[in-house]
Amino acid sequence: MANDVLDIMEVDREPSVSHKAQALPTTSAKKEKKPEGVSRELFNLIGGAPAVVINKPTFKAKPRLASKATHWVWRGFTSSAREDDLVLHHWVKANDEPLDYHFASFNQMVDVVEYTDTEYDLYLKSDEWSRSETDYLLDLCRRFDLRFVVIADRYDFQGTTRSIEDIKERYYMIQQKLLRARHQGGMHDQALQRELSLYEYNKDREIERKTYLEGLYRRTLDQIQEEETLFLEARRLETNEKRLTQERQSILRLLNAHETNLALRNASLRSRRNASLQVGVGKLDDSQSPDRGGSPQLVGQDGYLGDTTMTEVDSPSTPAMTYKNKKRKLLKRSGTTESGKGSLASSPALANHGQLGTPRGTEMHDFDNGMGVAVTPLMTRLSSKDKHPPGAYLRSTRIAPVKLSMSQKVLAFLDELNVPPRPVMATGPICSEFDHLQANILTLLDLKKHVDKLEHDVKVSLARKAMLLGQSPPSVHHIVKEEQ
Amino acid sequence: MVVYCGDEVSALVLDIGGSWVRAGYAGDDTPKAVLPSWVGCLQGETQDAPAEEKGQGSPKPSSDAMEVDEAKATPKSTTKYLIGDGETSAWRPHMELKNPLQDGLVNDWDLYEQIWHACFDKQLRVDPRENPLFVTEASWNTPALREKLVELAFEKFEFPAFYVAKDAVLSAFASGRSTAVVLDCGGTTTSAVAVYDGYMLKQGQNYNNIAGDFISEQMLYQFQKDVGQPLVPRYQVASKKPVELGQPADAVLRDRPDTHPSYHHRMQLQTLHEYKETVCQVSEFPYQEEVLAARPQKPFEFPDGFNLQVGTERYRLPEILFQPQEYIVDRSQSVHVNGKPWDWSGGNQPQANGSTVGNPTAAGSAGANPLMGVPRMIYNCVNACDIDVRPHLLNNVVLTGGSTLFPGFTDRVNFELSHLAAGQRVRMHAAGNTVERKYSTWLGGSILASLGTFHQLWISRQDYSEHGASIVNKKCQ
Repeated sequence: MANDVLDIMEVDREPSVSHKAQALPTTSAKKEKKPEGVSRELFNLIGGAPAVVINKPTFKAKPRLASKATHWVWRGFTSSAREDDLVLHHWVKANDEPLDYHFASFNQMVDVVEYTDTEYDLYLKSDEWSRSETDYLLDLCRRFDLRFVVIADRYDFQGTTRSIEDIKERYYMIQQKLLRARHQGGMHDQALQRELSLYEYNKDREIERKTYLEGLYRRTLDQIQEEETLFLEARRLETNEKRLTQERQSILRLLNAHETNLALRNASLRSRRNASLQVGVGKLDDSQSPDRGGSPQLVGQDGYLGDTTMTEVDSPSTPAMTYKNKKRKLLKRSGTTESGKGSLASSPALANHGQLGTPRGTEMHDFDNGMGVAVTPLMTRLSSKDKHPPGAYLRSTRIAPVKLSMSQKVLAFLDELNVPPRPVMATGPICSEFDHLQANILTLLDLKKHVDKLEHDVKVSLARKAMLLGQSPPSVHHIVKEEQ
Repeated sequence: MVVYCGDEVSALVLDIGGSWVRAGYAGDDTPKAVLPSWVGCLQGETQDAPAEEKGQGSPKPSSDAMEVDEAKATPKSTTKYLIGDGETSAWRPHMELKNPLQDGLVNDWDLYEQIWHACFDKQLRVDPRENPLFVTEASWNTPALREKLVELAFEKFEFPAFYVAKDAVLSAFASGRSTAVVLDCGGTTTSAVAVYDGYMLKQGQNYNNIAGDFISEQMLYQFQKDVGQPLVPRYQVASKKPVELGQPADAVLRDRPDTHPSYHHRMQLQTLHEYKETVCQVSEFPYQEEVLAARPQKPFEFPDGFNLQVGTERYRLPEILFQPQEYIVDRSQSVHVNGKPWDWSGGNQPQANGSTVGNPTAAGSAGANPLMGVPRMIYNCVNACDIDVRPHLLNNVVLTGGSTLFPGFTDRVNFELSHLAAGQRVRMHAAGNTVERKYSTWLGGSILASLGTFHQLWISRQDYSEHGASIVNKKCQ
């Protein structure tokens, strides 16, 4: 402490130090070993104590940059983009070499075509445009970099103004004519045509376009709202129509299916009589195809014919049909190994017929789904005949099962007809008849459902119509009566 | 620096508007000096200004003209010009306030020159010979006036380089657009001008003097009609005592003899300016008395202590901007439409529809009635342009100028314009920042004059000496 005071007072303390050194030679020796980075005061405090580990604080040294701060100077410059030698001043780094002005390169000009007197006289003469006016136009084009909107705005040639279409037409015509005139090669040169197409301008079409745009622009708020509602209404009608046609188609298919069913039944009866049952099955898809109209008679014929070559000759088929038949024939001839795939038949003779169905196999499959159960009974019956399960079985178990959701209704219907829920005497014909009955009931129920739905739709539509017409909605009875 | 395409050459930007002058350096974001455009003129001691003119009404044009003549006739040394907010607001006997501009165009070149002097010598303290000068002008400025401007810059002030640009273009630049329709509703003029790709379009531009000062004048008329006593401006009030709402003022007035009526009038307008800024508002939908009456009233105290609650009145007079025909109360005040005086009796006269606008089709589409509200002005301006450009313009409606700062102004314009241009997408661009709205023209000039690519456009002294003053009409388009 005393040392500090003496230090501060700057008193010479040589003697005392020497005195201390004499008194305590060991400490003075230690003092000399004061480690680097430890303040004297701290060392005095801990002096003599065992050395402690001291973390020397590491301050970031002030960066010693090799280079000096750059000098900036206020220097005059000229720009090559200027025609004169105006000297403006700006701040630049002193060591920057004064090259051309940095922004001079951005001075891009539009290349507007120029013409000589002879060229003008030869190609560019016009009744509407005088030479001086054309010059004026091109000067404006240059000045405003072909911004035609601005050119038309500023256009004032000795008091006359011109529309933007006039100006554009003239300009593009000059370009085209000069291009053609100056072109060296043939007139049908690709490059020339390409360039010419760049300057294509149809004034009338442009004016027409602008008239339409103008009309669009001038719409009032009411008109726009009306337009929007009309658009929405149209969209609604469109979707409605789509839905309706879809429904109608599905109904038609159902009806078709019913008829087909009948037809098939006839066919099968006949074919059973002729012991050529499978042919009818093979023709099944044809009979259901729309081009045939699903006419039972036709199916019957086809089913009866039993030979594809005959079909081609006899059936009143459209060209498309013949094509199909031909295709089928081809397939038949090719006799691919896959022939048996689509068929459940076991005999080679049947395999051919099975193959007949394959080209449209998928369609038929879809169709099955579409009409629900209509076809399945026949199929099951056939399959039950064709594919005997191993071992003994009850024939009644081969009757097509009814969907669980429908079974209640079907049972009720059967009850109404006084038919037991299962055939009592399950002979072959009875089983087959029962199957038919069940299938017809299902179809009937399905149709009934559709009818209900349609009736409801009609009611809703009528009510809507009445509402739109501003009348009070007619009573439900009334509608029903109307329908009847 | 190069990244932003900027290169500052310490150009000066000077924007002299109808009410305010802004001056500063290009590249700055605010002007260094802002001073009123009204110049105080003190005639020499030997001359007696006609101070005994009566009333607080606007100075008679005839006497005005006479005084200008006098100023021209007498040597300049006898007239002292006082420029700056402090100078013109302080009361001085016989001090007359004059404005160099009329409808945005320079009317009095002496005053205009004085303003230049004040800006460069007193405010910015620069040597004109060292800095290029960038000046703004009204979009409808005439070639003759521009030539005079160039002469002034090169002959009297000896600037090394000069450029003059349209205020509408600069306002569009300030809001970051090169295509826009600019509605500038300032102190003395309201204008709608289309800008396409950095060029002002002459077609369809329309302007009138129904702006901030006009509304203030109407308010003055309305005030004196309603209250039945003259409006006392601040300079007259020595002391005041608080009074009850609506009670007559109890104030001691200063004796201010020889006050020039123009000064008195200007001070009255300044008071009303404060009134406008404090309580006035624009209805967001067409004015409906009963709806607006339900809104809260606002109190305002005039300099002499007279105070009142302002109800629908605070909406009614700003409505002039939108329905001038219906809401102008004092029809004796002159209305200028496209630089021509509007005749109330005439109603729809085709002459007033601005032959200065140039394009007859534009005038035709402007309809029979050229005195119209702000949204109509914008709409007509857009309609006069090519159909292909209109969607761009409507998508870039730039609102600028001090009078657009009325609360509700932007909403109202948007509301009406969306109805007028029903099928189009209308977008307003109004700077949220008051400074940017007031100084947008100057700001655009500051941006433009600090661009590296701009420096090739300056009219240099050499250009001027070679081609004469007419070069300005070629180079500054």
